[in-house]
Amino acid sequence: MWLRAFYFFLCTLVVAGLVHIAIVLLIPLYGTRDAYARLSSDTQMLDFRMLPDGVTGGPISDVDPYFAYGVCRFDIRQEGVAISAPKTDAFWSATIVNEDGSVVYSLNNRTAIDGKLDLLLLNPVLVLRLRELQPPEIENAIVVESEMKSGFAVVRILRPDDSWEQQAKAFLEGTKCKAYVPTVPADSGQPTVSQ
Amino acid sequence: MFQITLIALLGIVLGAGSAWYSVQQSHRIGAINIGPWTAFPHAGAEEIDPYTIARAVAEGSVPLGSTEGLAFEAVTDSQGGLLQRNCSYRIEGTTPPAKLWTLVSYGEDGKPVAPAPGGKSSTYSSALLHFPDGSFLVSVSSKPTSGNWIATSGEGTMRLVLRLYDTPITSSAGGEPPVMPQISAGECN
Repeated sequence: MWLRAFYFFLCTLVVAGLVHIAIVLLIPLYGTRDAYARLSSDTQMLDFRMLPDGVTGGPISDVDPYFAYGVCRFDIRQEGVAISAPKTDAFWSATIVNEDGSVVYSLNNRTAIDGKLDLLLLNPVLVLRLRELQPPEIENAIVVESEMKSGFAVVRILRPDDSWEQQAKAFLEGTKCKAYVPTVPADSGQPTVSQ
Repeated sequence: MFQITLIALLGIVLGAGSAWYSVQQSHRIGAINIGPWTAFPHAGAEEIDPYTIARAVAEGSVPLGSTEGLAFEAVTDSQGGLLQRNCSYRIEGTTPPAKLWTLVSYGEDGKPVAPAPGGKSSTYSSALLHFPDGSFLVSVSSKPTSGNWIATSGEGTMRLVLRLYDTPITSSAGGEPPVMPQISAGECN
């Protein structure tokens, strides 16, 4: 009798454990409320958009009112994406988020090269090609390799009051997301070696 | 047969219940708690655990990346009482080192609290008045106060979110636990 009850208990526990693990791992696959899903209905691919002020229920919950935000959505299975922004003095930061909402890469104006946002996000195949071709744009860009399929970038800039509005707007309007595939520039032949 | 059905049913209920509970409570996994403040330093890093991912998806939230900064959230004062919009609080002390930080009060609807007339319901490091030793005092109240004032209004609970931007504490695991300001409750209207 006791053995039977113990066996029953054990079976229940195993089933419960399997269900528990399955649910936790399946939420990211079937979650429809996540930031990427929300963004998909509002924005086009590779179209960097400034988010309206104080919006809640948008792609980013818990918006810091001291910052202005912009987002763009991308898919890097075929082509990479180049994210660039004009130079500015105000504090800014950027995050690359995958479709599950987890952070793949982040940087701020102090960790960026020359304080300027210039980032190439590539899949491993394109990174190999980039290493082979060594195009000039990699001199100043941060190259991020990721196996993510699709995701989005969030760029934020400090805008504590209205006097910063102009600067923040210019920065976010100048921020671009473009498809990027490493190619050799047309005019460059073999570098000449001088003796 | 009856037993197998019972095992399956109980298993599903227990499994689903515990999964839901753990995802809701995932802030206890890998969280750092300093007094009333809680932060999830791993939410913005790559070594994120499945519970935190599930919660981020379920809530649709995007954490600050670890290079961007770290957000600390408080729903209670240092004595453990829930933060109320109609009560006044004193936030005293210092923050961990950061290039800049913002302190914002949010209502239950997730939006910043509507400020009382003449004030703002948030503040940030550059706008702050400090004591000579570098510490500060921020008064949270619906009535105007001198010095640093976070102007609240309305009723119900609120959360305070202190976001540290460009802070070394996200990259330095271990070592001294960071010091966060105290939140002490004052009078309620």
